[in-house]
Amino acid sequence: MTDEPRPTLRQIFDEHASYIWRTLRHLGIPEADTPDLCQEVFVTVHRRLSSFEGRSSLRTWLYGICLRIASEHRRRPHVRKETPLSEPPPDADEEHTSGPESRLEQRNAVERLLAVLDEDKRQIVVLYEIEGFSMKEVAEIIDCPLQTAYSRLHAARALMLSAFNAEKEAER
Amino acid sequence: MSLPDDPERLANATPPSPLGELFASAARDLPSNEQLARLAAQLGPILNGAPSAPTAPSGTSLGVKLGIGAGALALLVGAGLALRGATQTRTVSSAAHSAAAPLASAVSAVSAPTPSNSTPLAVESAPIADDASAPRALDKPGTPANTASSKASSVQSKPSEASLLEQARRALATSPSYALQLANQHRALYPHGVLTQEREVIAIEALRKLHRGSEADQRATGFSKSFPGSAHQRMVDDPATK
Repeated sequence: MTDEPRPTLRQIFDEHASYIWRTLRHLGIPEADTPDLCQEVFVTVHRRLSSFEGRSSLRTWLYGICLRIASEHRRRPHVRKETPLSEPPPDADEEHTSGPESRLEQRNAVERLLAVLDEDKRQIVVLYEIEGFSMKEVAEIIDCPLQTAYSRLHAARALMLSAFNAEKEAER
Repeated sequence: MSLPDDPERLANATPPSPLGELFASAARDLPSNEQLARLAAQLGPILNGAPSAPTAPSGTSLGVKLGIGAGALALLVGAGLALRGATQTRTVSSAAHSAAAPLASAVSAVSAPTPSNSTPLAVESAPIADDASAPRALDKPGTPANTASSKASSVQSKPSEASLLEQARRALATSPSYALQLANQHRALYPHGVLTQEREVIAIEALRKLHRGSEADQRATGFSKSFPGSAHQRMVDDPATK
C-alpha cells in the first residue's frame, strides 16, 4: 500500500466520472443504460475502496471495475442491443466544436468500427486508443500477458481498417 | 523477451490514419455536465461517505444496491416529495421527478450524515445573490397547510436535496429566477449538503441566464476555490471568456 491518502469517492467521481462514462459507452453499453452502469461502477468503488491496496494505480483499478461491470452487463439476457442513434443526443456536450450532426455521425462511425471486434479486442482498443493507457497498463487492466495485448491490438486495427474500407467502398 | 514500444495511437498517427479522426472524436465524446450532475444526484448519499453495504445483484436501484430494505424505501420514497415554494404551495408529484431522485432522497434520509464539524465551504459563506429570490422558511409542520402531514416525521416537511435540485435543474430552461430561488433554498436547507457542487452549478447558470454576470462570476470563483478539479468546472467557467 502506498503512503498516499486514499481519495474519497467524491474526488474519484470528480476526476474520473466523465472518462468512466465514456468508456462504458465505447464498450458497447447502450446510451440509455450508461447512467445506470456508471452508477453501478461507483457503488462498487464505494464498497471496495477500503480494500484498495494501491498495488496498481487507482486509475487501472477503476477501469478494471468498469470493464468487469460492462462485461457482465453485456451478458445479461435482457440487455438491449445498441442501435445507431437517429437523432442527436439531447445532452450532447456543448463544448464540442463540431455540430450535433457531425458528432452523431462520428459517434455512430466509431460504434460501427468497434462493433466488428470481439469483446477482448474491443476492450484493448478502447483503453489504448481512446482512454490513452499504455499497453502495459492495458494488459494489467484486462489481466493478460503484454504480448497478447499487442497481438490483439494489431488484429483489432486490421479488422477496423478493413471494415472502414469496406464501408467506404460501399458508399461509392 | 524484449517487447516493442507502444505503437503510435491512431489519433496521432503519422501519416494520418483514416481512422485517426474518428478515434480523436471518440476521445472528445464526454458526457454533458447535465448528465454528470444527474449521476451525482443519484449517487448523492454515497458521494459524501455513506457507509457501504453488502453486495447486491446488479441492475437494481441504488437503494437496493446499498442494502436498504423495501419497507424503508417505501416509507422514505414518499419523504421529501412535498415542496412548498416561496410564494405558492407546490406539491411535487412523483412524476415530476426522475426515477432516481426519490431513491436518492430515500437513501439520503437513511444515511444522512451526522452534523458536520468540517469547515464551511467558501461557496456556502458567499452572500445569497438575490434577496428577492432568497429562500423563505418552509412551512413548519403543524401549520394549517400542513395539517394533513402533521403526523409525518419531520423528514417529510423538507424536500430532499436531490428532489430540490432536480426541480431547480428543470426550471433552468423556463424560469432561471425560480431555478435560482430553489438553489438558494437548497443552500439554506443543506449548507453542508452532499450536492453542494451541483447546486452551485445550477445557481451560476441561472445567474448567467438572468444576465447577472458579476454575481455569477463571484459565485463561480467561490466554486473553483472550494472544489478544485471538479468535474463541473467546465460548466462553471464563463463561456463568454472561452
